[in-house]
Amino acid sequence: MKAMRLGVWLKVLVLVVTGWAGTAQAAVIGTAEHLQAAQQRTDVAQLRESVEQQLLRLGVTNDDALARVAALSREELQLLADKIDELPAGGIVGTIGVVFIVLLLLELVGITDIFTAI
Amino acid sequence: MNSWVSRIFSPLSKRCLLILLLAILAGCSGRQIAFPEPPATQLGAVPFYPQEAYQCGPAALATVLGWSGSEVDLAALVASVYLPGRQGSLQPEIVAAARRAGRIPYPIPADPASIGAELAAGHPVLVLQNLGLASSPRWHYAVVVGYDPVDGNFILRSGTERSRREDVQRFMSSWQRADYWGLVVLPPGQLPASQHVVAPLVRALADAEAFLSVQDALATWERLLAQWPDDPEVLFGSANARRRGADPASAASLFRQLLRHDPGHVAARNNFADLLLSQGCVQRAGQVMAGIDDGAVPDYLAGAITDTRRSLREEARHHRSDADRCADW
Repeated sequence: MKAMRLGVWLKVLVLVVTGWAGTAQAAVIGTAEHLQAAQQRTDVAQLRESVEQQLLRLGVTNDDALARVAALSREELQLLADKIDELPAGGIVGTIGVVFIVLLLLELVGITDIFTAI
Repeated sequence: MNSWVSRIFSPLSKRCLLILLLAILAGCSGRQIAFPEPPATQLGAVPFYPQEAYQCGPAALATVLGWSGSEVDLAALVASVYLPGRQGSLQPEIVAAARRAGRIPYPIPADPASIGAELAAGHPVLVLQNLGLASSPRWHYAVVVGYDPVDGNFILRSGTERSRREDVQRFMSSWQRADYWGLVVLPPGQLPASQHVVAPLVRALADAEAFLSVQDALATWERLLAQWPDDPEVLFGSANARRRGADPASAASLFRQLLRHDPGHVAARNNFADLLLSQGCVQRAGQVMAGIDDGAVPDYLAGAITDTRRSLREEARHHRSDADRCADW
């Protein structure tokens, strides 16, 4: 019984100590944290290199990729380095075509549902 | 008669379909977007490059570049902006390619009123539209070249259509789904009509400057300066451009004006001192550099400041005293 109570107290002690250590560490900037902050200030040459690699991966030729990154501003490089796979890629033919028909079909499906319900 | 197909084509559903169609055409899917009615315009001189496959980006860019008087090589533009892995073109690359053509791309304010303001000034507007739904987007680039108040349609160079007409409300909701992203691509010396904040203009010009001739850049800075004569960054950019344009005296007057308003502008002190050194005004340069508070020097400027101070020390070694004219600089 005594041993068990000691065990509980030990656990409490461990929790308190680790908890305290955790808060104490928040005031010190860890090395990894610091490096991450420094990475956000990556210099332009590194950003160019990174975007160039991405362009190559997405099918741009060597010479074109080089010329393309050269014309991008720092902010644009950062944006592409971070989000090249998510940014809107305008490419579809803007005639009525596919999109309109898809929208119409969606609505049509809605209508047929209503009719069957009635 | 009970089949799915027959239901669709029954007279009742035909009528429903018609109503639905009209509702979609009227843009019933969203709330009405309010904006001043655009002026009646038809920019007939804007060329047309029909798009091929997924290449509405290069086609729209060719359209505005051609209007701006730039030589257009469509194949080269495809190589500049088309991204095969995404089957389309990204906005930052469209902007960058306009720079490479010696033109200045200005993003317009994300506001439904921007297009009307640009059309009134005679500028075609390259826009990104989302022709799909917010949840399943279909991104498309087109160029707005006019507005017809009779039927309330925008006129666009779009895809394979030379004069595509789109109801303003329908257009606006597709443009809204693309965050109202638009671009005017202007020849040097011109400014967009819709942008009333100076900072984005300065940024656009500064980013394009590396691809402009000295004269073209200078002409555009002077245009900005005429409109914003007291803005520190306009003064700074204009002073640098005037110096590159081999007009050190008028550059110096802008640096002086800037430092009177903003004595803590470190980059301006550095560039002004460098100019003074090039004119043999070593003591004047020393005075200008002495105004720099080391604590206020950002990291990225530290190298330049060190270099200028070193040149100053070297020049000072052989220098007796400034010529009289330096007092005026």
